[in-house]
Amino acid sequence: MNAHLQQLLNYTRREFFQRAGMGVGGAALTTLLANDLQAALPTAANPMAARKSHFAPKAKNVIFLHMVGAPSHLDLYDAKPKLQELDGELVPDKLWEGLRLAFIREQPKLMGSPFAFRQQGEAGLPISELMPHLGSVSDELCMIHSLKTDHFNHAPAQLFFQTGFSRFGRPSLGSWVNYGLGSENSNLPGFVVLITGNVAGAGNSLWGSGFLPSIYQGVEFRSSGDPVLFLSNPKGMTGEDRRRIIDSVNHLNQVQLADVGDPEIATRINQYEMAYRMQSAVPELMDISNEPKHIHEQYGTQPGKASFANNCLLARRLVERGVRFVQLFDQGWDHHGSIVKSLKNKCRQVDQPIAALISDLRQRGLLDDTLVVWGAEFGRTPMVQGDRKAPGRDHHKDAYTVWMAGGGVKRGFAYGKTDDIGFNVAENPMHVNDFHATLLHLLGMDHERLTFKFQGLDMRVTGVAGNVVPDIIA
Amino acid sequence: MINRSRTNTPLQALTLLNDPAYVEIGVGLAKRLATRGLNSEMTDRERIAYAFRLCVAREAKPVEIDHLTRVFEQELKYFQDHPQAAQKLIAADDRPEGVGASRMAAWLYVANILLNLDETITKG
Repeated sequence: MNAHLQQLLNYTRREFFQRAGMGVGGAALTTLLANDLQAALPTAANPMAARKSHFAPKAKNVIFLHMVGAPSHLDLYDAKPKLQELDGELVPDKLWEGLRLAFIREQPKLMGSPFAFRQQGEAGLPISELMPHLGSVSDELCMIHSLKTDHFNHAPAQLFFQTGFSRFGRPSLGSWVNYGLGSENSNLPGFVVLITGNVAGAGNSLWGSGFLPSIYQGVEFRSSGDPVLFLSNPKGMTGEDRRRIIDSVNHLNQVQLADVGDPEIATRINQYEMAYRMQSAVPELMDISNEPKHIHEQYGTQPGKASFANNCLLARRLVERGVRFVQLFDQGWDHHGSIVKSLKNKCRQVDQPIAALISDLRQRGLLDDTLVVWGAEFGRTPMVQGDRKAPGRDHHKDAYTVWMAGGGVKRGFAYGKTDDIGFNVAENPMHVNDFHATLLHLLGMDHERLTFKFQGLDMRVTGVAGNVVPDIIA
Repeated sequence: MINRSRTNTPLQALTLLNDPAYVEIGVGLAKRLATRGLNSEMTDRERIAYAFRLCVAREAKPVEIDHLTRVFEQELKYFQDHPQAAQKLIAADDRPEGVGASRMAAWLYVANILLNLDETITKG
């Protein structure tokens, strides 16, 4: 874009703000006015204020567990006796012809799961022996065996799964949800991210706000050491000192906002207020040492130690305090080789805490309001990758399993089916766009009405696609 | 067109407010302001105008200078009445010759405010 055009665009924007004539606070609102959430517009004074959804919600909060790298659905949830039978045989020619995989290049052999499946609970959902604790709460789960995605490389697939778009620049689910619903807790961010292991390949765009105002972006808490750095005031500075300094900073920023009308300044003012409130709210939130012994035993948590278990317990504490969207990322599920050993290890880290989270939420009466989602960017191939002595599985986009629990989904329910070897969806396919539409629906939002005007379009998380899947809703 | 993702989070605010590195930068700026034209006729209001320009790279508007001058005078009075509070805030090493802890503390206030302005961060 040439400089002159840029200048014109800027002029138009400023002029727009001036004419909006709603004073200082109105400036930030103007970008939000374009949306069609008529019942509940975010306001500039408090863009995070709790708002009404389009219709009565089933769930108020979301805890989204993303297993980064993509675990094998065929070894955890999607039991395939036929695949077992065909173990060691070449993948059928008709499937192999024209097939593109991320890594496998030679026509590969099929691999049955080396793990046994068990049916626990009344519904008898088969769950791998690697997840015995999860099996014990399987009656709470709504398994979706027929998810399909468009991408088989990690970063684009992660972006697609979290933002509905495979490239950078789109708001994440948590941002959309906070934009639509606001937050129930003014002392904590409405969208908190907790990570174990390295950050996923797609980076912090997975919790970015894209074109939405940046007030809606996820806030990452550190998993080891202090969860949030620099909460303490400098030596000798009192809380009142800090309050007065922030008052002055915000006053001068208001002067600037009135002059140039950049909504990002309104966001900054709100973020300084949030920072001040977090100084007292976060230490209380993150101190899990006060939790009773039985809770620590249930989750397998150790105060002060970075772990997925600690993050699960924190997720419960966050939703308990009204945080709208809690996103956990756990890295290390990309098992191209040595799947037997690696998957066992990973499951040992997450199985008990996830089951504990579900039971704990249920016991506290929070599970009805909280949608727990377990998923990944894609699944893994029924075909073996690499050495048969230390076999692995490649990336697979055409069919995989995710599950939900609580928040208005059916309990002890399985939706969709894959074919005999778990390669393609055989019944009730659910595309990632449908999954997003359904998730928003559970929160009381219509994915076609949750829009934001950007580049002349009414942008949605589902693009121009997506259908709610009513069959999984209780 | 994809815009670069913007950092505008409470975590950034906490870093700019409390990270020891930024606190040191604040003390450094406070020293520079406290000693500027120390034995001249220069007024504190003029020092504030100078400080504003250092941080934001433009002349301050009168309302901005008025506000910061008021903050400075208020805090100076407070720290003169409560010298112990000033001594807690400003280590002995950080009190330049001819400048007391109270004046340094008041300048630290101003420095801290200026270094956290949206315009300082974005130069926008």
